[in-house]
Amino acid sequence: MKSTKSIILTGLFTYFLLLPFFFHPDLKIIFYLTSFLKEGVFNIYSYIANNPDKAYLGPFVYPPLTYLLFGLLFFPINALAGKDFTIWLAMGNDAVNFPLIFRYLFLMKLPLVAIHFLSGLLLTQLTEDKHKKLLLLLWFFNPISIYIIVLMGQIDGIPAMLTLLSIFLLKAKKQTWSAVALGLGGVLKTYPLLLLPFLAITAKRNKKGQLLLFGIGFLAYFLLIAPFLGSQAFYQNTLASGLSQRIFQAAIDLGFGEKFLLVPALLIFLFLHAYSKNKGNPESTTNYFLAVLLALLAGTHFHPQWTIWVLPFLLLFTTKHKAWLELTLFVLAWTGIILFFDDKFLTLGLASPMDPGILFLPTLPALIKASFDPSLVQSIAHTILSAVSIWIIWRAISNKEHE
Amino acid sequence: MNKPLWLSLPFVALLLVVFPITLSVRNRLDDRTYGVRFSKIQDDVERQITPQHNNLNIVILELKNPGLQNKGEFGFYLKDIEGKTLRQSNFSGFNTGDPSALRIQFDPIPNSKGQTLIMQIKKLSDQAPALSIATDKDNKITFATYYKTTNKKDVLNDTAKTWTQHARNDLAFFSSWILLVGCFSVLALKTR
Repeated sequence: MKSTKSIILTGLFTYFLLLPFFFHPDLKIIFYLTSFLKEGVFNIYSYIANNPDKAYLGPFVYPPLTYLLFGLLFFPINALAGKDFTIWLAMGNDAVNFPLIFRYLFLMKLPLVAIHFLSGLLLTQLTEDKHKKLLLLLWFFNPISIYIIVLMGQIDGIPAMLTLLSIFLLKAKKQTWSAVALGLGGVLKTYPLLLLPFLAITAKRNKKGQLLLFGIGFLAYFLLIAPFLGSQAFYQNTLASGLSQRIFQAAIDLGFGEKFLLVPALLIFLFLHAYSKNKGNPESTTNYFLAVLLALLAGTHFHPQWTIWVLPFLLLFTTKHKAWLELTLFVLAWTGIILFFDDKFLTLGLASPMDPGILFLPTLPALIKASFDPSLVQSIAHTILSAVSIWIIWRAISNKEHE
Repeated sequence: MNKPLWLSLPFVALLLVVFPITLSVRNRLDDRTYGVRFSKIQDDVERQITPQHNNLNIVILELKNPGLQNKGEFGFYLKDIEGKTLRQSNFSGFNTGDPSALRIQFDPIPNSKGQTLIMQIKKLSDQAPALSIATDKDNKITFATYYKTTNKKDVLNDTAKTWTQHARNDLAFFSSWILLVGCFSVLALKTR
């Protein structure tokens, strides 16, 4: 492959070829719930809480910008999908034999592919010329990207793009907009807010500048969630779910009801390291983003799609420092974790539009549990991933060129 | 590796996924109808079905158990046109989520193809709140039925028919998609 254009075209060919045939219920549920925007529903959280008959696919668990973005995307997609699209959206998770399902899957995932390719272009602006082609190849053709964007159709690529945009804007000396990008990312999925302190510390040397930059990013986030702060359902379904619960799970019991919380401890360590070693050193920001996101994966029972958060920074690190062994072990361990989830829609069930009978096939854990404990196998895979992650964190933050 | 080989990799990957899955699936979709609402099961409900394949062995019903409160007992019956019970199974509100797809599996009915069967759900005990079942616009209960595969050749024939039907169902999409994928493959091959 000789040019970035060629790599992009081959990537588009591959993604479009595979796009219509794989299904995960999450994207369908998102479009079902965000379709209420066309009926004038602004506060989806309260609406679902007050109309439980509409909530049979579950509540809306994402921050408000996700609702607004997909609510707006619903209009063109619905127009192209046809009149039965909303009927299909309201069906259960096993509605995989619907006549136009391949069209629906293609259309729903198309914006995610566009964002993924935009992220690829952003990545090429954040690396040296000699690494651009390799980085693009890795970004488009690694199993994690294909699994999360093409097969599952998860939306995590959108906040991931905003975190990349934040670094791009920082490099372009637009620090305020860099912070705003993270704030906006936080209104799609909460995790970019964890990166905001590290942006503030590494972008500005003095405390006032750091606090101001942090404040700007947080204000961008706060202004967009403010209209929903009066809604109890908003707290329950977004702020008190997913990541915010799981980062407190990994803990060492200290006795008398007290626990040593591993992930928060690591994040605080990284914060202090950034503050003492890399104040006002924007060259180090990417490495801290990598470290924070790896800490989240290493220390939580993560959803597979969370891996796209760290992937761009991991690939930047790998191509720069030739960390091929680390990347290989990371991907292999990640694959092992995914295969041993006892959830058919994370493995074979993704292919159920091709044959609904797939949903009756046993998962790998169900097949092996007579001989091996599947959670032990998954734990070993996660331990490998965590160990590799900690090693990469160490390499990233102790990289001498940034001190 | 040269470009045509690169471009063939996704096709190969897709075939490597589709082919073994097609052959390893033991229960294949026979027929499926979709509901537009949930209707309360106040009395016994029934519906006629005509399986398209032999060895019918699974029926899936979409049910709703408000607040998971109903713990009553229900009977599922599959009868022939003369009313003779061919298969029977009980289920309970305990098995039923809000909503849930209830799977009723039984020994395959060998000569099910083309037979008119009556699917019946009876309330064996009275409990509130009532369970609801998905119904179509004509208020008929909706279902998915599956049959057990016995013969790899029939599976391959059926798969080919299914994919032809998929393409016929949405010719506009599949022709646009083939054109799009084709264009990108040509552009990718030509670009240096």
